[in-house]
Amino acid sequence: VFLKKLLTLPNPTQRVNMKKTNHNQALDQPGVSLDLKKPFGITLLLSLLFIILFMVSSELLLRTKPVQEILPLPSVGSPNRSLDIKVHLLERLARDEGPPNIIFLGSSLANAAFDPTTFQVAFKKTTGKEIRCFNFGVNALTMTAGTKLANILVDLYNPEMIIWGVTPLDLSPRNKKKQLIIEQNHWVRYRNGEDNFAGWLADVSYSYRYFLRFRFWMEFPKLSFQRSRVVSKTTAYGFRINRTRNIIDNPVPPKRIDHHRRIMANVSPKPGPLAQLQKALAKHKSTAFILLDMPHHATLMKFYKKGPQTHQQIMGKIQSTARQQGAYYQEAPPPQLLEDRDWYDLTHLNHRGATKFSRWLGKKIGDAVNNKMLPEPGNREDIR
Amino acid sequence: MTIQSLEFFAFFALVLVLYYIIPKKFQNLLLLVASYVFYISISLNFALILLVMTLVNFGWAHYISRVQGKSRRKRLIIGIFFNTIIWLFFKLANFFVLQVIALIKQLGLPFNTGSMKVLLPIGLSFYTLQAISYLLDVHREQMPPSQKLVDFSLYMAYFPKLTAGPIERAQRFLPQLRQSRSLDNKSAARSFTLIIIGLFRKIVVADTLMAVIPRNFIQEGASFSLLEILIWVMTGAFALYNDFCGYTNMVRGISGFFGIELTRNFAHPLFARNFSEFWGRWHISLSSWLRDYIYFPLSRYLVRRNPNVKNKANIILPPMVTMIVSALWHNPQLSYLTWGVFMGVALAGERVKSAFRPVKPPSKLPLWRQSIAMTLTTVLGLGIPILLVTHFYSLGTLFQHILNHSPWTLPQSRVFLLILPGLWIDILQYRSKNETPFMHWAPITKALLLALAALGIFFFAQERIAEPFIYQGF
Repeated sequence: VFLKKLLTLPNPTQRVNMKKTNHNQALDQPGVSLDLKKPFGITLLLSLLFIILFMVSSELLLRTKPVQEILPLPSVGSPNRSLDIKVHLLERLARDEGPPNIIFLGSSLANAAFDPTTFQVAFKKTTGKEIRCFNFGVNALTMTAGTKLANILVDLYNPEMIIWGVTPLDLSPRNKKKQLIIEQNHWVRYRNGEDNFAGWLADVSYSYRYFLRFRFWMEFPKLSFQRSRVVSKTTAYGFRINRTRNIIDNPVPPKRIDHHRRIMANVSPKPGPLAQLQKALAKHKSTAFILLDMPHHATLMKFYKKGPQTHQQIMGKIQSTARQQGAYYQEAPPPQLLEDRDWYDLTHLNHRGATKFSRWLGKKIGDAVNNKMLPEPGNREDIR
Repeated sequence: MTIQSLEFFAFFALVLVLYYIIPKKFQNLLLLVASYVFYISISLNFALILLVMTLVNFGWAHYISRVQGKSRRKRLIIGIFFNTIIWLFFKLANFFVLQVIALIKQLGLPFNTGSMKVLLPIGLSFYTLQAISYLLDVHREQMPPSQKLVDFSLYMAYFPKLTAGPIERAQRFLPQLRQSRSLDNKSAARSFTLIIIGLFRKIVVADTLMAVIPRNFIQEGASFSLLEILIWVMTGAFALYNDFCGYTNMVRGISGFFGIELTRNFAHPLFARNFSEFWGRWHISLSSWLRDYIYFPLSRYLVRRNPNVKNKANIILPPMVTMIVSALWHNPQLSYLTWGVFMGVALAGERVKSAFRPVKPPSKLPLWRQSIAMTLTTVLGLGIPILLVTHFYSLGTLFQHILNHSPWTLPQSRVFLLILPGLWIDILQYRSKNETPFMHWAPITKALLLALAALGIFFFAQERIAEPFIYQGF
């Protein structure tokens, strides 16, 4: 049968009888006409109603406290886990206790170093003022990305002070890809004034934020797991507790030291980030900005191209930018404040170091407030 | 402007409104203009190449039809040669340009190699086959050459199918343009359903699966078990299927709104029970093209030479040559060639079996055997090609890892969350023997499903830049 079929193909009956049929001859009124009869679009209309119903009910449900406590923290769509965590913890703090008077900003160095509770106590001891603080330290935050987050923080919470922990490394990013993760996030772009639909959606919709969390889990299951672990170890004020390791009991591996050496040798001041900083400081006059030189382990200082001289040169540029815009500049704590037992690794403080450092900072800022060098926080009606 | 982008849908809506406003006699012209606008939005040079190929093939078909006998055959061969040479030039040019660049760099010659790149015009492989089939059909007198340049140009350039098919036949496409037809409630609902299914398959299933698959999972195979590798390969295969099937559904739905029915490209390939069935269900427009213009003519030629059913050449050569041509059409590279040979051997194996003893048709087999056959065909028909094509040069590393690794770890179950909705659509379509089975559901259920699908598409589409369809790369 197969052979027969094969040998007779192409079937002569399928051949066109050129005399009888003309393929090019137009039939009656060639073309397409609309023949839609009423009712039409009922399913579409019903589904639109379902969409509205679903969105409204899920928005209401996902904004309630009991539901939020059961579910993991939502996401604004950033693979940078600390950004997502900090955004939502700050939002919850503002909802439950009110917006913070002081927000600490900076990279992972700031994330590890600022203990808001210790700072609050030291500050109260110095000034007698009760304040609320939040640590908004975000891993891999550069100065450029930091200015974008500063804009968002001022815009959303209008804190009385932003204490921004900076280092020369922030001007010369180690990892361009990590930097872009924050800068290119739709929500960050939208909050910085860009027309961005996905960013707007993440800003207004909790359903979408939880969807983004689901998506994050789908794409990065390991990171998602790490994120949940970090959340469980972070206080309501954004400080990660229980980082007890130190470099005496756990010496830094030589490979890691080489890595630091390579990075620090290439650090140089870039004009772009400084211009961004200048712009951000000039923009927000209602919030007092304090630029703080973050503590450095002595070993790292040697790794700069010209040793501590490079560090001073870069921090000098940041200081002059801060002064030009009327921002306050705070020197790093004296080296003797922090000993090796206070360092988690060569760049980050551990819990003990963070407590010491935050106590010192609370007193320093308190003194500056007492000396009228900084406006007194805790007086604004909208933040009480 | 990718087919699933918002810009494309705005463009489609505009063309659609104009299409039903203007007089019917200008509708085809409007579609032609829209098709060229769409192609120019990708690249003006691509549009020029398409224009040249259209004009040459239009004229050449008339030239072929004017004579009979050997001259007719000669003219056909020249026409096919012209189309093939253009296609080959663009397919191979980049490969040779890269060699020239490497040579220039090696010799240290002071040439700027930055601009030396030849881009393959999107859709060239698809419309080249359309042009060749048109010339062949005219030569075989299965149809007369088209008298209307507008119609023929639209056959070549019709924008819904321009970038990745389906590969249409002039015999089926051109008569539709000359017919009176209407867009009624049923066809509008069907087209809309096809678009939604297509978007769901592409944006929710395929793109997300692609994002979930670990990059270079074979090169980093040390951390993956055999079962994990198998599942990731099959995930890739499932993503490819949903990507291409989603694309076809979308373009068929879009075309349906213009009253033009495009060829169906997929008929539940996941339920194929042998390779012959698989190729009758996967990329149907290409496999039927290959069947009609390579497999059957070659079989006929061989059978005429030696009418013995059990002749080895008669059994082995047609599937082998067809699959090799198919592989080279996808990409003239060693990895694709290996895939073609593998598929050719598999198909020839099935034919050898049936040549020597009667074989029960797959539908007559017990259910358990059908299920095993389906799984094996899917794994071998989809998984092995994916492995061969994407990881051809790292297969050695893969086998090393397989031998050294414990084989019983499973990847996280999250993959199945995405596979299941795609599979559910397939099962529904297969069981109901209908591409749009949801159309017969109660309005409330339909509306609920549409709402969920629309929300899924909307949310999934936000965070990701529209990924191009995989088959646009061929």
